[in-house]
Amino acid sequence: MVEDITALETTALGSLTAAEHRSDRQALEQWRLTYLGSQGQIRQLMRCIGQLPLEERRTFGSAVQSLAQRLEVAYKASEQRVSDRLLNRELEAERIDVTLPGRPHAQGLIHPLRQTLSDVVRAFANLGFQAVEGPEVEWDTYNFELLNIPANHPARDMWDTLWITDRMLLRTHTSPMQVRTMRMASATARRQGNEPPALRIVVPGRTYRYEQVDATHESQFMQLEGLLVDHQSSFSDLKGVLTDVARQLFGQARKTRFRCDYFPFVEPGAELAMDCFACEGRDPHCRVCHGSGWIEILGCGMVHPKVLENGGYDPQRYRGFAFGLGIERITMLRHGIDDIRLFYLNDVQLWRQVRYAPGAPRSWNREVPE
Amino acid sequence: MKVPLSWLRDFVRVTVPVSQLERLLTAAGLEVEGIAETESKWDGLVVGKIVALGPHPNADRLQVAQVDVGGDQPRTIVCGAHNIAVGQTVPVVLPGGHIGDTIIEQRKVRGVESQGMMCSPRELAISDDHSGILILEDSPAPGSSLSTVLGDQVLDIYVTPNRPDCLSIRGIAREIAALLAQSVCFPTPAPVESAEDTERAVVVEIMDSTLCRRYAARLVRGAKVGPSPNWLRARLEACGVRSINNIVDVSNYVMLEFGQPLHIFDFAAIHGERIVVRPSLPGEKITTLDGSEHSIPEGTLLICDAERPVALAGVMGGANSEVSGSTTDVLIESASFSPTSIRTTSRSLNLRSEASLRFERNIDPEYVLPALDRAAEMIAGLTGGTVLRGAVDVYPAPEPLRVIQLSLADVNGLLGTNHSGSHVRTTLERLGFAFTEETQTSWTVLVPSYRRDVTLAVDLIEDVARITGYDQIPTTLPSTEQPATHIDDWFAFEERLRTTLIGLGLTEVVSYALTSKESLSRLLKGPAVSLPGEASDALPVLRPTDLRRCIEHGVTVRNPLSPDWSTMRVSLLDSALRTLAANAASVTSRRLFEIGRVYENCSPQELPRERAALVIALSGAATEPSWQQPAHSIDFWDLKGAIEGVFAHLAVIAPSWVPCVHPSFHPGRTASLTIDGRVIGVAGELHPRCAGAYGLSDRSYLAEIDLEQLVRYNVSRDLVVPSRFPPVPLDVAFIVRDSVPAAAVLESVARAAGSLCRQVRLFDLYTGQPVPQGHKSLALNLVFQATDRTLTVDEVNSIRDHIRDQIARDVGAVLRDS
Repeated sequence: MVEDITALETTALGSLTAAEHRSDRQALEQWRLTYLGSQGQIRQLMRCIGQLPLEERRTFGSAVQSLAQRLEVAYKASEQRVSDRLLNRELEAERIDVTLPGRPHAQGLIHPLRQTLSDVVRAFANLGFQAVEGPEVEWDTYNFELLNIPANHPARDMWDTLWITDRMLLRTHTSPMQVRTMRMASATARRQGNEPPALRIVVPGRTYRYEQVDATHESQFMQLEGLLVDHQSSFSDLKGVLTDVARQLFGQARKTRFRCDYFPFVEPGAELAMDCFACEGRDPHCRVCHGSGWIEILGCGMVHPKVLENGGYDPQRYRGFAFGLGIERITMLRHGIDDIRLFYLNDVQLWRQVRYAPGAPRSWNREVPE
Repeated sequence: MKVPLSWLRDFVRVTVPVSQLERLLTAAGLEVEGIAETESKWDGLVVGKIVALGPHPNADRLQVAQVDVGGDQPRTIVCGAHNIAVGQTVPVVLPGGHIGDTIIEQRKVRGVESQGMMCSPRELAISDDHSGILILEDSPAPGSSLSTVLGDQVLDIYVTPNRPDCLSIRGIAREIAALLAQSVCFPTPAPVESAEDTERAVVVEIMDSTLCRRYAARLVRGAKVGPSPNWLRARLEACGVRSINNIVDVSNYVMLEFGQPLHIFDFAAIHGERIVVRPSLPGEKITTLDGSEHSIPEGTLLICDAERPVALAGVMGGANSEVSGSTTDVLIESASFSPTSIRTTSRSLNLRSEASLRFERNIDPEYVLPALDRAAEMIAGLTGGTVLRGAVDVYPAPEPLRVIQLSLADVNGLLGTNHSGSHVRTTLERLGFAFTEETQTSWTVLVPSYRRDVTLAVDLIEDVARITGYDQIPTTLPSTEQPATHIDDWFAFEERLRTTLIGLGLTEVVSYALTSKESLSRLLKGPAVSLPGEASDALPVLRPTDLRRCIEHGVTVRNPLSPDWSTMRVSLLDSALRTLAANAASVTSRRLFEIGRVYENCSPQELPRERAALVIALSGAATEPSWQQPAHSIDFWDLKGAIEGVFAHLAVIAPSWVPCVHPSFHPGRTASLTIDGRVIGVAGELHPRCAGAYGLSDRSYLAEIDLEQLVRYNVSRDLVVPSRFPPVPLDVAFIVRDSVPAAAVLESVARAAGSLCRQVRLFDLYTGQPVPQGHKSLALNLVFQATDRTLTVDEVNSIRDHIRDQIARDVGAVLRDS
């Protein structure tokens, strides 16, 4: 009988291997039924146990059991291999050329000037400055006179103007919002019997000049004005705020340089330059700073007492600073564009090249010194 | 302002290298825009000494000179000029060198080999004089470089309009002295005078003392007009002023030194020995020095003699009294005029001069006499004339002294610094400020009259800051009073809208706000009919019957740079269409938007209305064509889908799409967007005539939406947690007459489906067999779901029956058998 078991095992494993080789699922199933099924040969052997002498039954029984287990294991392994092989064959048949281009999605893009504007606004928002807007068609009064630039003042030559009427013009800068904002705030406060409030605002917007257009001059462009008014701000605060923003926009390593400049509505007045982010002053042929090592980015200064007064703020008790920067200039620096006219040509092919670098890799200290 | 270093050294010791001087001046507000080395243009020229001179053997008008240029042997140079003599030193170009663009070569001149060339002042670009060779003074060594003899470094300084005092060598010298902690030394001019009294020789009368604050004059008799000496020419040339003759040159020289413009008349041409300063009368004319004739606007300040105008005060002299070669007696004018008057004159006649530039910036009337004396002294010295005794000086109302109260606390408070009182005082004193009453920390400061810009304490504080250096001010952050944030979140709204739009695959453009009426008029190609729900305060583009008027009466620039930029846009469609056209050739799928303002004129007493609008402009392929999918052209549904996408992100009431007719759009493919019956936008296919006018060949789809109306229809919407019970889908199809709008069917279905219906989605639109002629079939996918239970089939079936009955009543639709 034991010989029968051995023979059975040999035959069974042989036909299993054959079925597996053919990757024949049906044959495998047939094999399972033949050997391991309820009518299968193992069962038949089990049924034979009763005909054996008592002393052989135990040995034979355990031999059949063990054979059944071995066949079961062999079957499962074969079945797994076949099913893997078949699946792999199927997947192989589904192979695609992953180097083909992907399905295009319509790509939206924010205009680079707007992106700069919103980044600059955010940088100032971090320091508590709020964005407000004002009219582009302005009165001479707000654009010039209340900013300490009376009619026939030679300083008016600094702003060649597009006129609508004798008194109405296209604002030549975003500065008219200085007096507008101060007047609104001080009038509201007075009505409520309060002191004029401290202010921190930025004013993004379009501005216009009577200026022949070339690679570095536009007659329609964007500015961002800033104004801080409180009781004790100082020139050193002006330096701090603008240095911080330059670093937010152009990197923490930036250095700033303030030099005296003249704008009738600030005193002292200054021009701010930062060290060149492209060459850091090392390239005498740098296309960003032209070898000077410095990039002039904005005009600023302490609000002139007359302007504070025109805004309804007592210059004896309030101080403040103001600044104005050109959005096109900052954007040209960011993208290495050297022709300001490109911004308003809206060549979509050009804007589609705009990329913003991902931030630095995230890092934090898992171990902090005690 | 061009400032030769050599001239500055007359007044101040420049103790630092020029590069450092440049930095200091620029940091202090006197921006050095360039430093010119005058020597560079004389590269290769040398000093030659004439050692022998003889006639040319073959030409009567030429001479042959032997010139020592420092080598072993003198050079032979043939020369046509006759002002040279043995022993003189002259500029020489050797063969191979160049003068201007001309290269000088050794060549035979009428048979004599000439080994170089001697140069005239004009050839050296020193002055206009070409009558002879420039004779160098002080006999410099032969062979030495001409640059070391004539050369100099010249700072080109941009002077801001507030600092007229720095439009002079003396002014710049004073600044340098303060920056270098030096003192200035200004010699006092002292002309040698004759016995004859100026006041007897000429009478000066000021008719309007607000226009002419001061007028002083001196007379020089027996002057001999001739060329100026080299040093004077060189200085003027370095400052960019052409040398004319010794008299005119003096007036320019003194103006550059003091910043006080002078005018010099040929006294023989001053009729009646009388100067009258008066506003012009109607119809007067004058021919100015530049040869042009001007009709003088009434009220222009004139300098006249007893009979006629002889100069436009402060702007330009008249040709009738110009100094000429035959002039012997000259009248020197030094005056102070009203800046506004000079500016008005120079603007209205379009005449700018170095004089008007200075007068309109309000120069110091106290310089009138010193400059006059200096001019008289120089003219006498250069021309051999005699200066009459004294000056006529009419100065009806001398300016009061300016005093300013200043405290150390003001200085340090405004700057955020910690300067000492003595630092503040010393710094200001170096600039010429005087301190009268004082304690250690507060002062009364006397402002020197030349500092026209200083009227307030802050002006003094700026001087302290800029002379000390802005880099000496600390860098701090504002420490207190973070103001309360007030609500003006328009900027944030626009940013969010922008994010939504780019998420929809649209590219933002920013266009010029200025356009032209002609360009805008291209929007008016179709019929103009009022839009349903139109209000008088809607955007111009949403008032078709009024749009033409809005364009005609647009905000118009009086002095446009170009006709293309003469009117502020009343609609964003115009610029959007131009952008579509500009990109048509290069970009397959044009999906653009702009958020910008449109401008509408009100009355001249009011500022125009500026309102924010959104334009969406689509044209070309819906997506970039690709190997897996053919490109389909953008159509109305892409536009509508984008707009629906925008509204899906905004907490506002979704608008209804009402068919409409608009002059810019296809009459059968356009809708006005209305909320609560009020039109807030228009969307549709561009009218083919408009497309033609903008040069667009593809069909284009555009919408313009009034953003400020939009935000009025804010609805706050809380989020609803989705039901956990299974949704039950139901597909139904209705047959309805073609004329019934789909929206009516969908609304009716939604209403009938009730609150258990979560979604009504149109998934098929079909016409043709077996749907009867003139009808269409709409297939809808409905989804039902309850929040508290699983719906039964019976429940859904009964809703379906209700929908069937309701929609038959509402729009005459018949439910198709499924």
